[in-house]
Amino acid sequence: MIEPQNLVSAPRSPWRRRFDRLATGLIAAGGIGVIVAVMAIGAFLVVEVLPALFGGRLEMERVRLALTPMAWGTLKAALWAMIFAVPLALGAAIHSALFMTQRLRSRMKPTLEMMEAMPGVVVGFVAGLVMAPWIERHLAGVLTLMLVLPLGVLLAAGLWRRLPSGWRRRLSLARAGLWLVPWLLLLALATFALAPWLEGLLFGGDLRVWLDRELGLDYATRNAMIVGVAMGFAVMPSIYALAEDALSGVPSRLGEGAHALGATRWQTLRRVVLPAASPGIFAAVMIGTGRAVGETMIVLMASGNASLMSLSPFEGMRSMAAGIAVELPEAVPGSEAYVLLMLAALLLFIFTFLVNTLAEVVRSRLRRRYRWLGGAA
Amino acid sequence: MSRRLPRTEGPWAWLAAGSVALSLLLLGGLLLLLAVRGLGHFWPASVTLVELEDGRLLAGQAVRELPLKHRAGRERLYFTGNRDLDGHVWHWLPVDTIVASERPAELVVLERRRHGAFIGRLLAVGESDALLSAQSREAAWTGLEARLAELEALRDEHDRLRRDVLRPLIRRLDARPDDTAARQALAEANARVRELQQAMGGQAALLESVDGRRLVQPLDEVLRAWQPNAMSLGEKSGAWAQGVWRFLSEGPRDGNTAGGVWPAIFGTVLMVLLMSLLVTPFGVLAAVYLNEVAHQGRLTNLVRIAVRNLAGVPSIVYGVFGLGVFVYGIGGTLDDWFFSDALPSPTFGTGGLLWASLTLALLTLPVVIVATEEGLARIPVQQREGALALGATRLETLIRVVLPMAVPAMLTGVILAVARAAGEVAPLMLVGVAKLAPQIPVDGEFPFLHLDRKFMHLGYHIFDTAFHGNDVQAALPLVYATALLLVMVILVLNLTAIFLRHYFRSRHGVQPRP
Repeated sequence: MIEPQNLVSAPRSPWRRRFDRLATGLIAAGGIGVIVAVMAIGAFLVVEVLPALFGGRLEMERVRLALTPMAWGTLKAALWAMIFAVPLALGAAIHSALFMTQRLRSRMKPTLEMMEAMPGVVVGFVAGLVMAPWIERHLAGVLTLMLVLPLGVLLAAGLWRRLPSGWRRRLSLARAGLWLVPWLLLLALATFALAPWLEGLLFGGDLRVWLDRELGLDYATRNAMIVGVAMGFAVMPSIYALAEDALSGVPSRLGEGAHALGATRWQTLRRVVLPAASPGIFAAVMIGTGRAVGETMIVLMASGNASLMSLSPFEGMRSMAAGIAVELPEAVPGSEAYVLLMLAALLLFIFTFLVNTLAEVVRSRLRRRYRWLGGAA
Repeated sequence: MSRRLPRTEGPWAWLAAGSVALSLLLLGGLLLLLAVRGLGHFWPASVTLVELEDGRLLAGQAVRELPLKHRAGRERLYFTGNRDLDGHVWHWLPVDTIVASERPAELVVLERRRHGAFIGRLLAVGESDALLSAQSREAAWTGLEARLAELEALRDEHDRLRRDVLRPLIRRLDARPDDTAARQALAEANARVRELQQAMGGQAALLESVDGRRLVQPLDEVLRAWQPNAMSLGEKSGAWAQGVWRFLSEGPRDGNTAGGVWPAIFGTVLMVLLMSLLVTPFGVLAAVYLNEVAHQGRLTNLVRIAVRNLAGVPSIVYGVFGLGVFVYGIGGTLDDWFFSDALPSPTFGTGGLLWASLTLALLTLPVVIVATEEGLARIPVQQREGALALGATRLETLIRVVLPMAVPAMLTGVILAVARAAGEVAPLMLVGVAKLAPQIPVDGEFPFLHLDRKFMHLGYHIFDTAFHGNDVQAALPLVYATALLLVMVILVLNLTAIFLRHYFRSRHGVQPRP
């Protein structure tokens, strides 16, 4: 606390004022210095790459040959991750923003933040060494599961309507996120128990052989599907957090108006809340894509790292980030390989920076819109 | 009203609920898997003696079971140890070829410095050249236990002597080769070390595998011994706790497939500590500048957005920057100026502790800046106005009023930064992590903290052991345990940050400045 007797005489002392000005100047200089240092990353990459690129030391043909498979792999990994993560994240965001009780929601958010904090190397290890061989053995079961889980949830909804009202209150939709967990677990166990029988019935006993014979699809142990699930797991929480913010930020009077006119919560969501929040959800998906494109360890450990160019979910790929991590320590500074990897890093930087800036701009516009919507009525 | 109002929410609402359930299931499944496999490894599992159709005998710990590839039935994987006798440590056995299995109490498991585990029978313990006949089981076992305890004490003294007496003496002699007192002390210490080594050698155990092959095992190579089938639950729990402790406190052995992760824990903590020392002042400085000093205009807002975006730039890009600027740029220049006599082998011109901490500090700067700024923005402007009205200068307002109120926000930022840095591996692969660093970067040698050394890291240890080891199957349990350790550290850090943030928000129930 400031002591009163110091205050009376203080402002007249010229030394104090000079000291204050000096210190403020130092803070400004330091602050600007730090910010410039952080921004220097982009400048450094440009300085390393551009002279070589336009000074004729690198032929465009070489660049194209080296970078196309890596760029392809990066986008493919991100695509499969988003296919897995976006529905999951948006579903979770919608449920927790609109259906959950306040209490449950305040527990749910930190839990999913934990999921975000899970280090990539651990997720990559589990995906590459545990999940990949296991899925290879249980491919039919896993693919069936992707069908069974949504259908199982709908089945639960159908059964729920037949329940006596006491039970219905106890197992309310607001708490469905919790009590569906054992149900899903049960479904998964049942699926894996039945899958070998199903595989024998439909695919002549071995799905992988069938895929190869009928569709010409190779199955690699570490493939895009594994990467998609693992990286989807890693980026899902950040999409969830941003989308949830956007959804719960929609001024409540909009939703209340729709409720008053007789809409269910889901109808309100589709006709009122979702259109209002759609830019925020778009921003969330963009930021998720940015993270998926730059994630290194998961792709490195779960993808098999072969530079293939195919869209098949059952084949591996090599991404830019993984390529840099593996090859850059061995590349001689200034050599062609070094410059190529620097170029890959520059591309990653530019891509993520642009995507994030776009998302940030969209979000700040959205905030303004909410304020306007909230204050207009 | 002609149409009845819909009473339920319809299928999509349920699917949304289902996705919450699925994410919780995935997260819980991952944590459970790590916990069970990571902690289960230290449990002294029972050893089964198996008799096969063809009369072969095998003893081992059952690990898992899979369906057979080419015919009906299942096969089981046994960890049988005895690499020096068999050449390998794993046996896949079709379950239907097993005719009998039992768990005799006399089977012992020895953990050895070389060749991994031994599983079989203990026949006798004694001087290596007088080991001919078998003793009674109890006598041999008590002899072994007594001798192992003795060895443990000797080994401790030996290590202490090397660390506290020999190394400082050698350093003194390096500095002044004509120091006769030191030379004499060194000779004495060396004699004592030789004495200890002699005391450790000499004794051996006569062992027999279950199929009757005998071998003489020098006891100074045996680290631990137990009879898992004869142990009670309490004894097993004790052995389990001891195993966990050894994992945390010892260094890796056998090409990272056995032993502990102490150097990796130490390296991770040291690197993160250095990083937070670097990132805290600079991050707070930048946040204070952005929020308190800079003119709040369009430009500041742009800078703010840019800093926020840098938090989303992939970590590997920071690694590339660290390699190009810190290692090759600054490190190379330092080598040219100060360490030119050591060239061409680089001192600072290669990855090391300093460059790794700097790179991670840069990587986490946006996190600290954003969190601190958020905290500063939450402080009501009346507080500042009040201080200024009472005659405080801007600096005094800042130091005495604003910053103390923003401390929890800064702490939150730093903890989040630490949590992120502890889990980040990709940039470290470029700027200084090592598969196996022989020396930890802190010792009694001047300048005590060796910023140029490479170091071990928990995250990289996971990657390297899981993907580059020569026996991944044997290393897997340790990888699980390491992963569990890393996850625990990060979760605890994150929980602390969440708690702090919650506490801060509830104490100052203030809306952020628009």
